[in-house]
Amino acid sequence: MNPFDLPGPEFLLFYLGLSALVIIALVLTRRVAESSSAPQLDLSDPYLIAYLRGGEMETLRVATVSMIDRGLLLATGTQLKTADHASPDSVRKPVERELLIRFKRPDEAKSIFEDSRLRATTKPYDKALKDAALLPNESIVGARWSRLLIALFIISGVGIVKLLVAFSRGRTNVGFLIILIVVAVFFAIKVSFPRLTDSGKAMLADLQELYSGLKDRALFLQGGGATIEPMMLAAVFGIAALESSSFAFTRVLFPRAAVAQQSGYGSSSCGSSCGSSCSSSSCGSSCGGGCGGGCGGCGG
Amino acid sequence: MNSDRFGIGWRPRLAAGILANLDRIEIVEVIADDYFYAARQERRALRTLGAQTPVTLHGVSLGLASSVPVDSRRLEHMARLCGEIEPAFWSEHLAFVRGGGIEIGHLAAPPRCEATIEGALANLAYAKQIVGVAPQVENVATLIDPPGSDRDEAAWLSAIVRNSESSLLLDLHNLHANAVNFHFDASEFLTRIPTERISTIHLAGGKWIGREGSRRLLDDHLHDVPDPVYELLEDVAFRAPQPLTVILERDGKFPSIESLLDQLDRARHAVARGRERLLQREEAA
Amino acid sequence: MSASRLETFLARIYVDDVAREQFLADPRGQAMRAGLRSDEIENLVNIDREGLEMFAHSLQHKKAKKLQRGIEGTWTS
Repeated sequence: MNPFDLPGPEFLLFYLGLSALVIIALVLTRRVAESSSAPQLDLSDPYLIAYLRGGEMETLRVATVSMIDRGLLLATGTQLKTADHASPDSVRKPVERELLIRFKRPDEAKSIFEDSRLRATTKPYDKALKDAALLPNESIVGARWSRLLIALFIISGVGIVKLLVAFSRGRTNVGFLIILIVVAVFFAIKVSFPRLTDSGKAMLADLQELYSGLKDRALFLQGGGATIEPMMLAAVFGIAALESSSFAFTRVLFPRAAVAQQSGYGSSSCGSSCGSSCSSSSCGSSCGGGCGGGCGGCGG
Repeated sequence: MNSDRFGIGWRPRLAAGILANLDRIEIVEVIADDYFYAARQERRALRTLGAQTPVTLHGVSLGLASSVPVDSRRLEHMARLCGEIEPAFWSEHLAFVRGGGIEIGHLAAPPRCEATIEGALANLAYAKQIVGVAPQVENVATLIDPPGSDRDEAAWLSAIVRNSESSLLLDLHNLHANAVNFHFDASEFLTRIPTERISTIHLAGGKWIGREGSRRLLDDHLHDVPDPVYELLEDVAFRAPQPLTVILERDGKFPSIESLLDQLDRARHAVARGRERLLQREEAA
Repeated sequence: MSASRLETFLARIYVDDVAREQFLADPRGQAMRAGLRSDEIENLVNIDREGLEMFAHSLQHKKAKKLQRGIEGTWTS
């Protein structure tokens, strides 16, 4: 049976099914191609993780919050200014140095997103994540385009052939088909270029899992820069995760980000340090240990 | 592995500090039982942890040192987890944890007798069969002098280690606590066990409990490693020339990560001193 | 096998307050009723009572802490 001979409504159904299959195949082949075992990353740098989660803007946000927390930047309302004692030479990371230079004169916090020099300091993170195939590198982007072009060839090819057949038979009621073609092409393009590779998505989810204990303690994390924990929390889950009053300034400086449900944040993997694994009977029978509690001795 | 390595027990509370300091932490020990029933996402996260640093799996509920055969279901959980995570090694305790269907809820020192030696050896062989590799076996602390015993801990432990394929995970705070509580010399204990079979060392701390005049040292993993344990570590490094993995255990009342890393550094120095003494002895010979 | 009976007996007196009290009141009688060997019975008669109480108490403490963590988990999840 030649599908191009199908009457209009039947062909539309056929085309809908074909497009869905092609788009699903596009997604699945991309996932298979872009999945790999987790790479080794420098997990001591919260800005790298922030970049993985949210790109340039997120890195700049977390860096700004970190420097305010450490007293290197001073926040007054929505304005920032470099602290008198803070010198660009006193920090090692390029993004931090540039922030100190940027705010030698007071300015609005949101100006960080428009500063091309600041944004350029995040490029090394982009490179590192692309090298690790957590963000799409050149080779991955090339493969995505190849898959998309094949999919578009099929989707639009079948649609266009049917249009030509319809016109050759004097049929002009092709509006729905044209709409379907456009919608199918739109979705094919949309699913082809997610920001993260499948490995990147998995890495981010895994980091959120590994740091889930930190999220549970968010209310109790104190500012002042004494530990890396608050900034790791912000990097992994977004500044909205900084719930303690020490970080109330984030809600003034970055109101949308400070309340947004960032990717992964808000999905609780575990309510307590016990872990979801420990809600089962295993904890009842495990000996003192388990539940993240180790195998500690007798009582205490 | 041809050199000593130093690591820490993985606890969610310490995640940020551990992951930010992997330049000072060479291995991480994960409690296996936490993951036996874990969702796929949690186990995958553990694999990702394993991609950042070597991971070991430490069991707490098999109860291998028992005259009763170990539960094969639990072993299968361990086997599955080992297959997924591919740890550097896995370990368990020479303890019993249940009897007659009653769960003790913690590690108990079994009667030190022929029956539990034979039981442990059978269980270890079976564990190796199911998991694919023999576990390292850890000595346990005990507040009670194990009833039904006809030999001391050194003799019992040696009999198991010498007759099995398992190497020894020597918990020095457990040794120290038992020595203090039951009045034997921990250093002398080291002369009576097969130190060439020691692969891993645990370090931990504890506290004194009980009434005045009858206090005992509790191995609670909630305190810093005490001086005598570092001294024992130096002694082990002197007696055991093979590479050692030294793991710091802390289950609660967490100090800063810096404090834990300082304790690990102190362990490095203790091992270095022991190695130095060994070198001097070899040069003198 | 007597060894497993001994382990069962120990598990019971470690975790069961009533069984432990009965044992401490009459160790020989309780051990005989459990079908233990004569050498095991003699050993139990001379049990480290101080250690037994301490261990049992520590087990209760651990159980309480686990329960508390479980409740806290329920509240926060």
